[in-house]
Amino acid sequence: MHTRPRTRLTTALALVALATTACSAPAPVTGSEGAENGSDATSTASPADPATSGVTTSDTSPGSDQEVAIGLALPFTGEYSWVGANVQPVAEMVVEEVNADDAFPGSITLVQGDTEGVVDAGVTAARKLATADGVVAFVGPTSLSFTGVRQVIEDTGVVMISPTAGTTELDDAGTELFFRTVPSDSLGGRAIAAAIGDATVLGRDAAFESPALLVGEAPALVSFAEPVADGLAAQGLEPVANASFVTGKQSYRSEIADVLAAEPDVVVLVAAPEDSAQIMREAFEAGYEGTWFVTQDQTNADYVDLAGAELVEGTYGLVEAPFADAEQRVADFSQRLQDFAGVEPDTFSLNTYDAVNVLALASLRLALAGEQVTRDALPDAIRAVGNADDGDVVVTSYEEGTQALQAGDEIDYQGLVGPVDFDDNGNITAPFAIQEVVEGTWTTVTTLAPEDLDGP
Amino acid sequence: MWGWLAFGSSLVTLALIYSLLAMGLDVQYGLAGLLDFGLVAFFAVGAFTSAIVTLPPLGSSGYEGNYTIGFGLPFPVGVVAAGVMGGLLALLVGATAVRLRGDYLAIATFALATIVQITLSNETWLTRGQFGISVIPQPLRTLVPSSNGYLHAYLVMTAVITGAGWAVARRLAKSPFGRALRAVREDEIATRSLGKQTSALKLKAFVIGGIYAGVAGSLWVHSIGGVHVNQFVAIITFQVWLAVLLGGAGNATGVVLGSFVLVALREGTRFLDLVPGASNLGRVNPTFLPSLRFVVIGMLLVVVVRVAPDGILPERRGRRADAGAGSRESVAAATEAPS
Amino acid sequence: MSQFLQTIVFGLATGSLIGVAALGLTLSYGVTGFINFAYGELLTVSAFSTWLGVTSGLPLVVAAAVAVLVVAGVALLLDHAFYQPLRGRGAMPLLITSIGLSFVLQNVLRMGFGADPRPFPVPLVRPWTIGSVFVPPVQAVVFATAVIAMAVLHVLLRRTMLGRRMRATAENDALARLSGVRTTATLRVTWVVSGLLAGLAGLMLGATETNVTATMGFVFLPVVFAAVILGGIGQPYGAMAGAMVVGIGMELGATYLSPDYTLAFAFAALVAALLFRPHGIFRGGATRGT
Repeated sequence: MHTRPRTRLTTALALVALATTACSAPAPVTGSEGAENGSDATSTASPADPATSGVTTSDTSPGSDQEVAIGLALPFTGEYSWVGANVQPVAEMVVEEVNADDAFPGSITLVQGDTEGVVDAGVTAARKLATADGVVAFVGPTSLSFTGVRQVIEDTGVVMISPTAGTTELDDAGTELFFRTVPSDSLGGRAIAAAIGDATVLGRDAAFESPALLVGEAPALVSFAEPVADGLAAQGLEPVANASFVTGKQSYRSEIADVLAAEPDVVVLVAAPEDSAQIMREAFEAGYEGTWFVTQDQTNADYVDLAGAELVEGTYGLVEAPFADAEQRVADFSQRLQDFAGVEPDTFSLNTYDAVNVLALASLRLALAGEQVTRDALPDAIRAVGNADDGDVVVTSYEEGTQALQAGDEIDYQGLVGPVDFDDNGNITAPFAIQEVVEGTWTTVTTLAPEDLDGP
Repeated sequence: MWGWLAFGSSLVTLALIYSLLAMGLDVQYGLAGLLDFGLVAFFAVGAFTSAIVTLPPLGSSGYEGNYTIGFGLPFPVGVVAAGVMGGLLALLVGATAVRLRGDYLAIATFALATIVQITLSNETWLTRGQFGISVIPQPLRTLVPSSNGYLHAYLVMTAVITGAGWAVARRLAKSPFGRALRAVREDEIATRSLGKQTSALKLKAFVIGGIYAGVAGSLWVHSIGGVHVNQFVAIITFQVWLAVLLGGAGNATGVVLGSFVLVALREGTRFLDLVPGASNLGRVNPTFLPSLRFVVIGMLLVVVVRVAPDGILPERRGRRADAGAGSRESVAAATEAPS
Repeated sequence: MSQFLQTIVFGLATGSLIGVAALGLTLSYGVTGFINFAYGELLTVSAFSTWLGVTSGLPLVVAAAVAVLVVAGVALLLDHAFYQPLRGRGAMPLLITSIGLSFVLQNVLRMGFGADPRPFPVPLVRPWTIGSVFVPPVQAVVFATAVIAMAVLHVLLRRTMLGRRMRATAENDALARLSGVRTTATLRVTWVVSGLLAGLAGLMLGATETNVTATMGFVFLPVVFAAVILGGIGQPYGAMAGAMVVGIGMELGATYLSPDYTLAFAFAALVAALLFRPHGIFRGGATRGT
């Protein structure tokens, strides 16, 4: 009577454990398929020997092979799992290109750490990467997870280079460990305000006169609200409505009714794709005929599919523009990504490419100088390869970077999203494009250089 | 090697924090038979209380965290305040809801927890809403310079507090109060007819559970170093339920064990990428492996209830007043009885 | 005034969506005696199946019909595999089992389909305008569907032998068995009817939210709980009325008080109802057990 339930439970536990293992068992098959389309086991496998990778490279002598572990501290599950899904293939592609080239003495490995897009799991994931996996840098996290991961970074000295966190919280975080290859939401917000307030920017006959703002209550969204409102105010355009909504409701009709009651001619909608699609439809069903202005998360082909081409026709979207003279390189990148992973570039793809390249070049610069790639050494190295200094050779890829570095030059990496020059807070500036849905396809209307978007 | 040890320490800390939550729920459910589906609300209130109490007053020099209110009091004050606020909220919720019969109480507490979550999310002057509060003070951080070392130190502190909680829970279960609670659980009407104030007994148990959860919230928030309303979702409550049922409701040692199993299961999937080829599976569908974690947790809830309703370490039957009742089924039946 | 009427129109639409879902949930409660936390996932499965059907070339109506049948099948399967073996052990094990299943189903969907939202295929149409009030046609369809579902269920419960058996089992399981009702068979039929309603509600939820995600049903569930409890758990007519109160109350609260607290209003009403009218605000005839 007392022992039986226990035995049965043990059996049950064993079964669950078995099921878990069984689920991962078919992996080697997938692995061999993966190898055919160009994947290399060394680029993705986690550190084989924890003893060496755990303390990273400090026990190897300079010049010898180095194992550099980089953590992908990103959401792979939950509401924002698409972020991890977009970033991972690009990061793997760059790492494979780096490892295929023998300039770097050793290899770079990527370790996945699922932050679930939330605070607590983010901390656990970041701690595992920082301690057990001994990574020297995080690619990530997203805006929400940053609330918790921040402490881990400051504690452990792991460098963060986020391709995704636009949050204004990072604008003046003031630590040398925070970098990002995505421009701040405050810059994006000002770009939206600039486009709305000036008819010439969008090539319209008349400027908008009564903009409204509708923002979802989520970490990645709220940080847009203030910059847009401030930017509009700077142009003498007071928003006729400035509303927020709680995500996850069955309908947003009251919020929409409030906004529409102010009779806006353009509504800036900052929301997750699924909420945006619903809100635009509900507003359509409420008779709204004005213009929409959306942000990065919606300015992509998936969103047109999700919301329906008819609904989004004529919508303006803010998106990061490829760096002015990077057009050809972006096309090359798309081709390589297509060949490598069979996917098109998506939101954050270009940012990831730049983030991982900067990390790889910084590591290479250290290694060629006979130094260890450590957490302490990385921040300066990142600035050295990212920022433009006198006499720097401009490079735009890892390959160009290796040649210049091997020739003994200092380099200035110029990326796909911008010149990737970090300011004191690790922020970059980048151009933005305003796109418009024309016949179901996002079409670029104009590009705004960062210098056109003066800060407050 | 040291890295793995440090990560291990942080996981054990997490398991101990979940143990506190589980022991709190165990006083409510294991002893008193109360179906609390809103435990996470007390956890949340404890976390925010402790953060706000310990953050330095606004404008303190050299402090970079983002927040709106801070009292700058020492960590022990934060822990106590968190327990008090958790208990007070439980008193408020319990005073209205505790007399409801079993599954009605479950729904009511579930709804009240959602209201608390919505309130915390909307009152940005207090919680900073969707921005969250980051860089919350870490107690005694200056005494331990190494970051790995601090994870071990924090573990020791958590172990002391959780150990104290465990000792209290054990004493409680053996005390006349604990026996009275079990009597309420087994047969409320009979207990009432013996002259016991059953509603007052249940309310006390409910408040004790709230205090445990509040203290757990304090330990959690200082271990993470940040706090955000989105951390406090219903899933936490149900994971604690899994810990209690798995370990053995009514047995404090059992639920601690259950909490460790829970954390091992949940975080164990983080190590799946050590299995050769698993990362290639991850490439095909990045959400596959991480989603599997929740499938396992959900399946385990189902399996435990089905095959081992008494858990790994069942409550000791000998102590029961009515030895004949024998199993948890009668509890379930009792919770359905009108109150 | 027109704002008020407009809010009522929205409230009716929201209420009918909640109502169909609440009907299915309250029916299954009536005969099984536990609150099914995995019920939300039935709605999700319905919406996913519809999306899948339309994506693979089926006309919307066919895909929707198939989806509703699939959900009824899933409901029956879950009962057979997970709930049936726990009968007679009280509500608690069933409650916990349903929570576990809810986790499993949500994440199995995510494992299979990824985490991206999918479009729910409904046509885009401008509203009908009646005076100063506008009515979105899709919402009118949702409302009409709810009315039809309610009418059909009424006929089923009141005018058929099957309905009489279902009511007898719901009111007193043991007595029904003594009077010769095959309660196990009745239970199965109830699960099918409950599943059909859940399938229908999933379609309505998909049409309202316009897209499909793995968590849509779970997020919606608390509001359905509120309606079920307000109406007196286990009572179909109460559930429908409770749903209208919740739906209209939520829209009124959002319009006149604060949209940020819409859900909190619904839950506050739920808790108040539990405290002051624990058998529901529309208490009718016999209730279960208590």
